[in-house]
Amino acid sequence: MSRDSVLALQDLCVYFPLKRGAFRRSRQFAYAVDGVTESVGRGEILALVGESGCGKTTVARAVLGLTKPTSGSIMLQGVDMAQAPHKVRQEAGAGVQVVFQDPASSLSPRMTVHDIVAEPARTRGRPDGESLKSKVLELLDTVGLDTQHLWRRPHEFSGGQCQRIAIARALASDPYLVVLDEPTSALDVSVQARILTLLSALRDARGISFLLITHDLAVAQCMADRVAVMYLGRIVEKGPTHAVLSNPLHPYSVALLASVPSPDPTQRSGAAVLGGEVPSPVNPPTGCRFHPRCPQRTDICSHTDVRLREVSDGRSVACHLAPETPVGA
Amino acid sequence: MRLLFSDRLACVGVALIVVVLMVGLLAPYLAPYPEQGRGQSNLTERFEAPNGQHLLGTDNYGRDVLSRIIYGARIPLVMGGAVLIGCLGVGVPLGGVAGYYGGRVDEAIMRVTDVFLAFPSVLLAIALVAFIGPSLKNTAIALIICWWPWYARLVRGITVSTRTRQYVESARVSGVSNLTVVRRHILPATIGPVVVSASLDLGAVIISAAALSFIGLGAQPPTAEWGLMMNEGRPYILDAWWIATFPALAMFVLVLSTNLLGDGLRDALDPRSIR
Repeated sequence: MSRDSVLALQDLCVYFPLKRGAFRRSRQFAYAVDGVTESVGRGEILALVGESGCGKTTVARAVLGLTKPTSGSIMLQGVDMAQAPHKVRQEAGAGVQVVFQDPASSLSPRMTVHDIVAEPARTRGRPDGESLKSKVLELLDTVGLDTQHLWRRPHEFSGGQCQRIAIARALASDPYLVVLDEPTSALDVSVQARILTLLSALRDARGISFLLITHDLAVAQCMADRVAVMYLGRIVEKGPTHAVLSNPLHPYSVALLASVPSPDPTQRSGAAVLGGEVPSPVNPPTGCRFHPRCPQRTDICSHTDVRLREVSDGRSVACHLAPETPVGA
Repeated sequence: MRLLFSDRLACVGVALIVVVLMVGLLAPYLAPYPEQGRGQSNLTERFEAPNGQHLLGTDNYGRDVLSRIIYGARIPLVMGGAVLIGCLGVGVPLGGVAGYYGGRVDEAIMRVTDVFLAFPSVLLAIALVAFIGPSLKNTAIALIICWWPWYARLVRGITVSTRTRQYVESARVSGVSNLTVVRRHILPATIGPVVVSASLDLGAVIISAAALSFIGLGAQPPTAEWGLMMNEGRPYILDAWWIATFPALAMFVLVLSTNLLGDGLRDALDPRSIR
């Protein structure tokens, strides 16, 4: 873990209790996130990928402070968000912002664009009035909107424009880390590309780090410096984007890549699509969590748990069968 | 607002309510016999049928029914307003706290409302008034006690659904304080439904208050109150029908107009019609 990391997760676990009766304490938990260790460096874009229900959004919510972690630690710029004094935590937390998936519900329908964008800046004690307005205009300009949009409300904008407003809002408090929770999933492909270009430009211009949550490997590929693949609450493989996506080592990553539709019918891979469903996070499988669906499982997979181990420079994989030194790495 | 006034029935409702308010305010100038409106009896002219001198006849004490109805117009809207304001004052904060904080606080507050709602509300109001003594003020208090849980529930429901909206979550991520989040994002979401619900309840509250007066647990004689007047005219309904009928008609018109206003507000504030 580099010392320059703005976000460091150490063995993060988030369990949700189930079936809370009026008088009974719950004994069952959904293991939404189960031991995630990861870090994001300054100006780095880390993509968390995986299918729905794998816990990637829960990681994001924990980082944002919207969900309390069950155990493990979250360090934001070296501040432990579980233990540091309130003031220090507030200061560190204020530099983390979020862009949600659905811009229609992440912007208040009752507020004007000006008020939406100004809200985070106001809580940081910026003066009202003209200086605030010029700051908002500057932010709108950064994301490609202008003065004529200032006093409108979100319902007057298209999805892509709303997402630009959400990005402007996220930038308003001069954040060092922005969590992007499926930032382009609700948008048309052409709009997606423009938003992603905007985000990349912001990273280059301002040195902001991004934690990108997505199920879209194409988005991860064009944005991220590093990728972490999640399955059932755990990271099963991580490493530099290019290495992981061009030469996946974990059978799940292989299957995930194979499931991406190819535009060229002659290039279709013969790889089998995974059978079965994602097991319930309430009763995760013993041993390797992926073994019931794994095409290459052996005896050891079903009874021995497997942890991430480093296989080459910056690449880790959680699989019994992964070679010590990957081919072509 | 513009939408509300484009609805003709709602306009009629608003107009009638304004008329009733004005009549109540100007009662001393409008009533032909202001003294009798305040309760002075006139035993020489008992049970006179509607005629040129007494347009709506006189009652068993010889008082002009029209004057009494005009004076009685002061009570129901004030009563309804006071009860609803009381309900909002108790119900909105409790519902908001329950919905926003959730967990044990929520459980506690909602179980209390369950207890209140499990009771037949009119019976509860009767019991309360009988306990604290009949008067207009006590009627209002009893009705507030019976009615606030509805508002607590309504506000709690809206708060719960608004709190998990992403724009509220991103406000919290931005470090906006709880109080500000509630004020800026959650209360505005509750205003529409609460206003509609209150305006629809206004008629029901007016009727309940009059019902308590009718059974002798509200306004006391010689106050001119429509429910009480109906009760006073009840023994003579066959011989002197006008004593009970005209207050009842006044009541009917007022409650109808509050319901028209409520329906109009509901349509006007429907999110589908504005955004």
